Amino acid sequence: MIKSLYQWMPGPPAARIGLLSVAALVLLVLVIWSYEILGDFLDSGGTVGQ
Amino acid sequence: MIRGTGWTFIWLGVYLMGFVAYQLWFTNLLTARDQNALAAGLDQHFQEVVVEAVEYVPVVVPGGITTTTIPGPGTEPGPEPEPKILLQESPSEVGEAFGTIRIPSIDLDVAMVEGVRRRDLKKGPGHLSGSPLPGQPGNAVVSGHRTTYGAPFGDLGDLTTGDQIEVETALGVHVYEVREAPQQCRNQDGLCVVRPTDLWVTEPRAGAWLTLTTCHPKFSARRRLIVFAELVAGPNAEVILGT
Repeated sequence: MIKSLYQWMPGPPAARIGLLSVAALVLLVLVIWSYEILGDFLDSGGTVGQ
Repeated sequence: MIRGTGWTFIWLGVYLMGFVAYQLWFTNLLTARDQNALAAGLDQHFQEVVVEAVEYVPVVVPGGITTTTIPGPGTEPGPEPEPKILLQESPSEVGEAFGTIRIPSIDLDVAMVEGVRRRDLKKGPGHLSGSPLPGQPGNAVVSGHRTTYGAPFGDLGDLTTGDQIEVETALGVHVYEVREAPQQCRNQDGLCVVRPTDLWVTEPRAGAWLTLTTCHPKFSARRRLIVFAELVAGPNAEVILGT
């Protein structure tokens, strides 16, 4: 999947790898952010009235 | 089409496995790192904190004794009790460690922070700002995670009446004893379980109390498990309890 995405992308290899790295980083941040939000349903810290 | 659906489920599975690993493993690592830093800074905090001796005058109000030294509006003072000297410490900045909580019966020994914001509770149990500090008259409220971020209050449901809770602050060690769950929130297991909006558990109480709150049941934030403990020994115990 990543290979086909790489082949589909225009530009020199270094630019493609750079773009894919940035996209992966953004995806990772989004995933962790969603884990934090979803985590509140598992355990919100136990506060009362906050 | 089938291939695309298959990949969707595979990635969904990877996402969910990542979620479980993040919550049950990675958050513990984050909290362990924060706890090490908090514990390292506690000795310095104990040396720097300002301790004051203040006059403590319990004010008799309908329904018991208030926990404040200043009579609130509408309170009717009863017969004037003798003023006593109470030790007070200056409050910490929100997010900073101010003491430790030890519960031998569930093998808990962690640093506590001031505040109950999300980022405070990631470090360890947090003291509800605005409630009295542990060791002071009234109702000191401390909240903590039950399943993630080190799960400091993971075994809070195993506490039984009479179990001891030690809270160390700059004043010294305050010893509390777990009391029976009040009738109004007691479930069939003898635990006090309330809704997250049941603010009465944080309200001031006569004497000196420590109220621990966490999520209930485990892996759900739908309810709150509450443990009430009463001060039995410590630097201010004699003054507050009048013994």
